[in-house]
Amino acid sequence: VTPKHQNNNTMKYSTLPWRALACACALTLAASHARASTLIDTQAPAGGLTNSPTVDTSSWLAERFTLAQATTVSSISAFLLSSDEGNDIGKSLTLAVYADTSRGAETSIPDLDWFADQQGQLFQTGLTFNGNGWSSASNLNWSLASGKYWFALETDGSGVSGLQVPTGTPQFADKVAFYSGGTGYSTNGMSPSSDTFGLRVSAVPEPTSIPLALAGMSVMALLLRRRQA
Amino acid sequence: MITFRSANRAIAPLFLALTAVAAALPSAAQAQTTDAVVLSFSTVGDSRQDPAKVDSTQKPMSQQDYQWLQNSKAWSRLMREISAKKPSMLFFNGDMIMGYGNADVSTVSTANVAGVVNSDLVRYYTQSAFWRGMVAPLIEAGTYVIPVAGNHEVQCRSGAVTTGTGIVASITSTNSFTGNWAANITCKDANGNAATGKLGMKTNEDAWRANFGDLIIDSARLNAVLPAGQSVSHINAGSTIAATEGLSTDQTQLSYSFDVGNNHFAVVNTDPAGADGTAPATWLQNDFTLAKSRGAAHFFVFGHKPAYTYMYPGATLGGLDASNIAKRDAFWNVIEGYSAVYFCGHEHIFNMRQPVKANGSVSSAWQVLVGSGGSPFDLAGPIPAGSTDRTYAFANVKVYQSGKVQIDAYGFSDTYGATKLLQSVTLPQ
Repeated sequence: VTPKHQNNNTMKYSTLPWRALACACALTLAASHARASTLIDTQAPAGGLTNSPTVDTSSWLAERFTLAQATTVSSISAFLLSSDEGNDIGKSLTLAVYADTSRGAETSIPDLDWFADQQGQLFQTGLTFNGNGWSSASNLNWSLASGKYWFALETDGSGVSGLQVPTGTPQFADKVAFYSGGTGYSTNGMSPSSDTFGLRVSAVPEPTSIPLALAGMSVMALLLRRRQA
Repeated sequence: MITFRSANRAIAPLFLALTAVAAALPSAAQAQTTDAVVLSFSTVGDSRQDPAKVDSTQKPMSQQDYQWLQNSKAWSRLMREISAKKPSMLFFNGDMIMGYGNADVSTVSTANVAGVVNSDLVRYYTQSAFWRGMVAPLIEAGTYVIPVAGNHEVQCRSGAVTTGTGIVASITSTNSFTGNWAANITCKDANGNAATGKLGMKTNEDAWRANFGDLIIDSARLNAVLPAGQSVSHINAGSTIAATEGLSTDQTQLSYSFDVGNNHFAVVNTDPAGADGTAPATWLQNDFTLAKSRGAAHFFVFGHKPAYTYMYPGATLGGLDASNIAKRDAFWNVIEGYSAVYFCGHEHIFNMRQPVKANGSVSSAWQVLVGSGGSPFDLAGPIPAGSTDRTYAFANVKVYQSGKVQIDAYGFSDTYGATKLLQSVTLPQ
C-alpha cells in the first residue's frame, strides 16, 4: 500500500461517516428546531427604566397566561433592568408558577399566596440576574396541564435593590398583579395593557419532534451499515 | 479507525483553540465594572391624615386613621418599600402629625378625661407616639429615622374649625366617628397675646424636642446601622441659630447638621417661631463652610417647605417663596453654591426638578419634593396619563465609591398599583 493509496482510502472511508454525521446533525437540528416550543414570548419590552415596576423584597409581580394544552416547561426567562446594574449582577430572584384557582369573579386578590406559605404555588426556581436584558432559568421540567397560570417574579431578601421590569411588551398577559405585603397578590391599579413585563416560557421536546430525531438516527445507522458492507 | 483518528487529530486543536478563546472571553457579568455603594439613604415627608380633606381614594377612613390622624395604609407600604432598599437613614421631611394646636399646658382641662386627652398638648404627644410606633420597626430593621420639623409640628393654626359629620379637622377633636365638632384653637404670639393665622410657637418647638429629640442625633444607634467604615461625626445641634438668624426661640434640634464620612447632612426648620416660612441661610452658610473645610464632598439639605413652590394646576405659593423672597434666595444661593440637593415636603405631591430662578435661568441644584407620604394629595384627581402628581413617592439616594450620587424616586399611584421607578438622576461627581 503506497502512501498515496492509503490517502485515497482515508478520504474514501472518512467521508462516509462524516456525511452520515452531517445528515444526522441536520435532522437533529431540525428536531431541535421543532422542539423549541415557545409557550409564551412577550418579546423584549419597549419600555426603559423610568416608570417600570420594581422587583425587590417588598414588590413582587405576576402575570397570567393561558396554556392551551398540557406541556412541560423547560425554561423561563424574564426581562430585567437595573438602575444599579454593576452591583445587582449575580443577585437572585425566585420565579414561581401558581395555579389560577380564582375566587369566583376574581376581585382584587387572585388566589396567589406568597411563597412563604407555598399555598397555590406549583413550582419555583432560582433566577440569577445576569445584567440588563433576559435572565433565564433552565432544566425545569415543570409539568402543567392546560389552563391558566400565574408566573411570578419574587425576591427573598437576598439584596436585590434596584431591579425593574420594563413594560411595553407587544403581547400581553390577560391579567397582571403585584404583591407588597398584606394578604396576597393584588390586581388593584394594575393593567395588562401597561404593566405587562417581558417573559419567555419554553417547553421540553414535544412528542411530534421525536420522529424527526429517530429519522436522523436511522439515516446514520443506514449509512454506517452501507460502509460496513 | 485510522480515518477517525486522523479526523480527530485535525479537529482537536481547533476545538481546543475555540475552547481557549471562549474561556478567555469575559462573560457579560464579568464585563461589568462595579462601583460600590458606600452610603444610601431615603427621604419622604407628610404622612399625617386630615379627615377634613381626606383624599377621595382614602374613603372610607378607618377609625384608626380618624383617631390617630395618619394615612396608615400608604405610609405603611412606603416604609416597606423603603426598607426593601436597605437605606441606612430615612429623613422624614415633616408633617408626621396633624398637630396645628398649641401644645401648652393651658389647653388642658382637668375637669374630666376628655379635657385632658383632647387637649392640644396631649394630642401632640399621642399623635407623635403613634407615628413613632409606626417607624420603630424601620429603625430596628436597620434604617435610622431622622426627623425634620414641619409646619404641623411647630405651627399653631388659630381660629374656629367647623367640620361635618364623621369629620375631624383639628387636634382638639372628639374621638367619635359620627359626631359633629367645632373647635376653637387659640394661638399666641411671642408676647403671649392671642394671634390669628398660622404661626410657629415656642410651645410646639419644645414639644418637638420632647417627642423627637432622642433621634437628633443618637450617635451610637446611628453608627450601628451605618455601613462598615462610615460613622457620624461633627454634630451641630443648632444651638447658635437663634443668634445668627436673630430668632427669639432656641432652635436646638430643630435645625441641625452632621457628617457621615465625606457627606454632610443639614436639616432646617422652615417655620421657626417669629420667622415663619424662612430657612436659616446664614447658619447654613457658616455650617457648610466648616464642613467643606474638613473635606465634605456632598451636601444634602432637608426641610419641610419647598424653596420653590411646585405649581401644579391650581396651586398657590406655599413654599419659602410665599414668605420672603430675599431670604429664600439667600437660602438657595447656599444650596447652589455647594452643589447641594434640597429635599422637602409640605406640598402633598411628588416633583423632582432643577427650579427656574427669578432671572429665568435653570438652577444647577435640584429640589426633590417628596411630600407624598400619605397626606391628602394637593391635586384632586383624575390626572393626565403619565403624570406623577398623585403618586405616593419617596426618594432613595446612593453615594458611590467613585463619588457619584444617584437619586432614584419610587412610588405607587393613588390606586395602589405596583411600585415604579418614577425618576432617576445622577449628579455630576
